[in-house]
Amino acid sequence: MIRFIVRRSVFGVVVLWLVSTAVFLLVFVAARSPERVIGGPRATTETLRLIRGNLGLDEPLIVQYGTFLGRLLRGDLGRSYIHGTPVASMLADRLPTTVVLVLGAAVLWLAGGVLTGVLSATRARSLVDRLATLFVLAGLSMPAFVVALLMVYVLFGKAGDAGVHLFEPGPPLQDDFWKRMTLPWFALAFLLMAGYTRLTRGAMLDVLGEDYIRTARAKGLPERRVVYGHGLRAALAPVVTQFGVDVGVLIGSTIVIEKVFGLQGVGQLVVQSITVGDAPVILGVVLVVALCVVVANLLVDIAYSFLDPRVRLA
Amino acid sequence: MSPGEAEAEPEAGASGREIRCRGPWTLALARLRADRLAMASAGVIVAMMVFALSAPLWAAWTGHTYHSAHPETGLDGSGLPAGPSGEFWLGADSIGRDVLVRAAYGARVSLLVGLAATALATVFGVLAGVLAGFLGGWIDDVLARGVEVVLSFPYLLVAIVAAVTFGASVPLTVLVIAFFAFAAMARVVRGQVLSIREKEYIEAARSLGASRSRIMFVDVLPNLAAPVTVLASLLIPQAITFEATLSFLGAGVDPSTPSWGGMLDEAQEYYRTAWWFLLVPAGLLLATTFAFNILGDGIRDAFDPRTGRPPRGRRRAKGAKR
Repeated sequence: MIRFIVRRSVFGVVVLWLVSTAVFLLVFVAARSPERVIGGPRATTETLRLIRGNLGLDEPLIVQYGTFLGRLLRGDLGRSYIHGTPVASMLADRLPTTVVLVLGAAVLWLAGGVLTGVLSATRARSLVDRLATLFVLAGLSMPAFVVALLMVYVLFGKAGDAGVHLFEPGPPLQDDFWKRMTLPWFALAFLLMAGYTRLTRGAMLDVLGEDYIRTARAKGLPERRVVYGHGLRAALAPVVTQFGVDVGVLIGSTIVIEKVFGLQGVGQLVVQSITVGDAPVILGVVLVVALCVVVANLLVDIAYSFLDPRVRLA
Repeated sequence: MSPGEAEAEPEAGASGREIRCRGPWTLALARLRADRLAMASAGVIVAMMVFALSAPLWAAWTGHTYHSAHPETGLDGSGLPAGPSGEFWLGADSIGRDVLVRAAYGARVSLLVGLAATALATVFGVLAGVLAGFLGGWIDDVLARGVEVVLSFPYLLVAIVAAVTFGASVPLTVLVIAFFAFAAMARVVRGQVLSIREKEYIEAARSLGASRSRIMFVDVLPNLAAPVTVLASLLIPQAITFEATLSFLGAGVDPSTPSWGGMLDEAQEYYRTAWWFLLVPAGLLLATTFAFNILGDGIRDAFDPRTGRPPRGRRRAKGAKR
């Protein structure tokens, strides 16, 4: 177990290193010159030269990379080119919104997806199953922002002025918390739910055909305990895997939902930074997101072994 | 099959019913043809392609190019987009451009990106998957780890960063999408090859003295056709969705090129006043991805009839088996 965790963690660190190097090369080397970003359009050549010197941009690439890695190891993400504030504190401001968005939606989609999946598997080929299949296809076909836009259109397209202010960027999250988060939660959950319905349905159909399910039925257990106690427990393993992967990836994908609903989360931060070329902030966000993905994957692997004792952590 | 097909063969057997050898592809195609939902989706896809190809015709008919703004006719007195009319069949956008013409040109971008990215990802994914799965050893290790790394990249962010660094364009979008789809394809192909490699007919080929490359391309590759076709057909709608999302965020195709995602971005502020501006691109986008997904599901069911929907007319008796 310990060996397994260590091995996976080492792999996670390698992933983080590769991601950070790739983004470092993209943002710092290939991007437009940061001294222009800092100095503004009217800066003199002299000012630009000074800024370059201060940032260490005249050093050879390998030295810059070394400095970057060294700072990273000490947990220093650098300062924003535009605002001059530490990237870490900017992230700390924005991360809660995104995490609340993802976790709230996660509860909805996990509960909804697993429940529809079980219903659709135990009543295979019934009307419920067919409706669920249609719903799955719809969910898998729709881009997040289209769902979000259509939701806003249907709910507020005709109404008077109520609701408009909910989607304007700016106000802190605490104001009208439930009113402002409900729609984003449902928009995000709707998209993800589809995959879980399909996954749970498939896994349940497989599991319910196993011998031990027949044994459980033969023992005279009530059907509900057979399905939920014996069947669902085993069927959850692939669902948990997917869940871990999705939560990590979603931290990055909430960009679109945040844009439509005007939530000031990490996604909006990175979009704003990209448009102005604020390289340290972009890099910081990408690293934090990559960290979430790696940690989520590790947790999934560990959870997997608890759900399915046949899985050996070799 | 149907009697009509048997009659089509001139040298039908004495019994009047000829027995023909039908390969898995013929069978799958026949099953797919019987799947009305999948055929309808194929129709939608063909219609969308015709719509895309005829974009210049729409421009000629309406007399509006995709970039020409017509503020005098396309905007109403208060400067808001004009609705559908004889002049603008599907309404005008926020600066008085024709939504219909722009949507037709947008269809070109969506379909081009979806198909090109999937084609690239399929070619390289299959190649990498076959090499890794069949040869094993360090090649396999490198590929398996590499795929795992790629799949743990926050891909939307990487795509946006790449677009800003190199400038948003259609080729770049295709490359970025193909890069991430490639990993998914390579992983699936590798898994398939690992199981095919142990089959008896591979053993037989080897004992007959076939070279490794011959086994790979003559014996292994044809057996991958079914899973690769299925996965590719499901990757297309994902690529289209991804492109639309990137364009919505301003990091997809060059903003001067009309695209559905870009139109939706512009329409976002006008959802109360100009429904056509929002609903036309949204509807086209959903119809396209929906059709590709249904067709992909249909193809999968056709290759493997044990999964998915039951064939029509042979529905299982109620409660026969749980």
